[in-house]
Amino acid sequence: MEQGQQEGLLENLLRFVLVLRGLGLKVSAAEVADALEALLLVNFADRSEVYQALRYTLVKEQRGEKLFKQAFEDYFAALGEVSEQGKGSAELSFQDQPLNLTREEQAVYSRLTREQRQGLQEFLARSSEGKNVSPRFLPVIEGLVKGQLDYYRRHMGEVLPVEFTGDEKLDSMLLNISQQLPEYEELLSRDMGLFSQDDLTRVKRVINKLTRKLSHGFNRRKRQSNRAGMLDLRNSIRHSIQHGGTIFKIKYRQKRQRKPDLMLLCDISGSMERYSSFVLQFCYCLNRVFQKMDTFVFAEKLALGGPGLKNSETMEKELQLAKQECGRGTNVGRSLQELQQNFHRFLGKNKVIVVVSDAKTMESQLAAAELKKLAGKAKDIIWLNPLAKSEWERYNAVKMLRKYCRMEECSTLAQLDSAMRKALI
Amino acid sequence: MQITLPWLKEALKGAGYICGDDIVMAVYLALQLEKPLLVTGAPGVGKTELAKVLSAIFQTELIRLQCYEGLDENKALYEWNYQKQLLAIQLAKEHGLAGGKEQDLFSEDYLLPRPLLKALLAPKKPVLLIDEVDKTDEEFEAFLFEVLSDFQVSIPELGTLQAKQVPIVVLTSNGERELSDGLKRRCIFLYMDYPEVEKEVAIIRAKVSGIEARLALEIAKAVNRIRSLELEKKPSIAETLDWAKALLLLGAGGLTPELVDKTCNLLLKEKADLDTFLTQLGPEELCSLARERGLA
Repeated sequence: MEQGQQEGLLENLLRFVLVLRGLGLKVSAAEVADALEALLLVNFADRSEVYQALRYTLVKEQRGEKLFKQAFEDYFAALGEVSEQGKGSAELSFQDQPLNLTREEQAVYSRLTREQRQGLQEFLARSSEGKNVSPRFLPVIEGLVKGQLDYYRRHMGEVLPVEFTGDEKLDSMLLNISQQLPEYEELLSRDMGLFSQDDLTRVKRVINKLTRKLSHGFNRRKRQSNRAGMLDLRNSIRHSIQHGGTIFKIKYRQKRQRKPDLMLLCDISGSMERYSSFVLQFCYCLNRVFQKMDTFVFAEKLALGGPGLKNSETMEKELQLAKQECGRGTNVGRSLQELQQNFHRFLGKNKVIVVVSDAKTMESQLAAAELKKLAGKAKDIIWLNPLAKSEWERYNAVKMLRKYCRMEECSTLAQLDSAMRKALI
Repeated sequence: MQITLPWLKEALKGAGYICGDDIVMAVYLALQLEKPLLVTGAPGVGKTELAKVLSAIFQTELIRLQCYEGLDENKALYEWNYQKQLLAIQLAKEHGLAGGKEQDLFSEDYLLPRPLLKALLAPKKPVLLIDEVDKTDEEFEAFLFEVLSDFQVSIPELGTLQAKQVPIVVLTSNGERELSDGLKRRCIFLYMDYPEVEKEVAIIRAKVSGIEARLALEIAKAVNRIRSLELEKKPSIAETLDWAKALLLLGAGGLTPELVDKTCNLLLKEKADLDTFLTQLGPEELCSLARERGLA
């Protein structure tokens, strides 16, 4: 291959790698070098060979294959086209001045229906022509439009978050690809409160897989280690028998990794209504995997979860009964107080407490005080909050409770996966 | 030997390994780029078999390192033959010799090479199979980096030993835990999924001699349908072959509900899966689906 052709090939490959990285795939420089070498081994005229050569050198996890496939199809099919997505933001202007929107806001706008877009454009047109309206109103109008886009974003399905490259063509492509996500990726990144009944089977499968993988991390017997730790005298002597009693090698023992003792506190108040399906399924799978797990449900009051919660068939009924008992509001402080007074036998220094709640509670001072007391009685407290992290600062209760626990954002399955791994393994 | 894609495809087929073009390409790239091939997938899809077939194709030794929890460098790389060293010292003492120089005691005569070192020092390019690497811990994975990147190892007493011939390295993983990025980066990554019906028929006919085409097709369709259920453990290709052999032994010309009922435990190894199969599908419906025309 000529020098010029090779340079052209490298440039295209690098731009493609930028797209992959924007979609969240990790591609190192060494892998790019491997990909280039692989391309030189295959027939360029055969699209499938080029696809496979890039796939095997750039993608190192099964989950990435679907993203790669979509990216490959889009990139090599529409290399020279400018996507329609990039043009959308030019429609939003106030008195001929374009609004200053971030890429994320542009992405949301591009996903709106025609009616929604028209609505925003009409609003801007009316505002621009209003009486006594001047260009210095631009920041106010921008704020209103951004607020509306934020509202739309929270109420539409999530897309895979992408990291923009700064290159207009590539960024348009990234937007396009993220909206044609493979179903599985979309499920992982969708807000759980938006799951429909039809999604529940697939959600169940993903949560099942997640909790089983968590369990694997703890299925390790006591094992010997070469790293310095506790001396394993018995094995050191036993090993030396083959050398006539001379201890050539000192054996060490590593602490066995045990499954942690778990306590699950599920918020079943009205504000958690949207997440109740996820909470249900989560409880069920965790109960199957971590058999020694105590489950409590709370809203205005606390109640101990009965055996019905461990059974998928009786779970829904059990939950409805619990909601009647516990009320519809949220009082974390009172619930934690009850836990420590009436159920203190369930607590212990080996216990990891997992709280699933949006922390929108009354009596936040009481909640913080009780959580602080509880933190001293347990090994760790992990708070899984379905509320978006960007909104935590708006709620006083959340700010206060965060001081006494590890709070993780948990509105999507991908975030749940990450939070549980960090917390338990 | 010049390795080309068509040649490799024919060689794999000739060795009885039925696979798609995607697998052939992954193996081809691993061979040409001299990179380890990391094969992941559910148990029983043919990951280990691929390494065995490669050793048959290239008529070379298959060196296997079966990984397990607690595996360390002594068992994977090398160990000193302490008994021989002690005996040498004892003999030297008895014969009034100086006891041997220290460097003699730490020479290759007293080295017990384990699979990794054997593969590096082999005179002819071997196939090194590192089986179920996900069963080891992260420390062992980190130890493998030097071997898999530069095909060399450092032994304090002997220095750095470079591979005489870069081995063909195949790593397999069942995906029980996430492998480190460092390991994945150094390999060509191949995910093996369950085969399509057509491929599975070809595999059954290649591996189970004497089986009729009709029975092989029904078995492949039945297993494919069972895999679509929500199971704890889906039947692997190995289990499909066991089932095919069992049915052949029982003189089956085709699938019948009675035969399926008696032998489904060869496919489904969990009680929960057997219950799922019986409640959601059942032998009658399975046989009816298997007998339908076409591959769907």
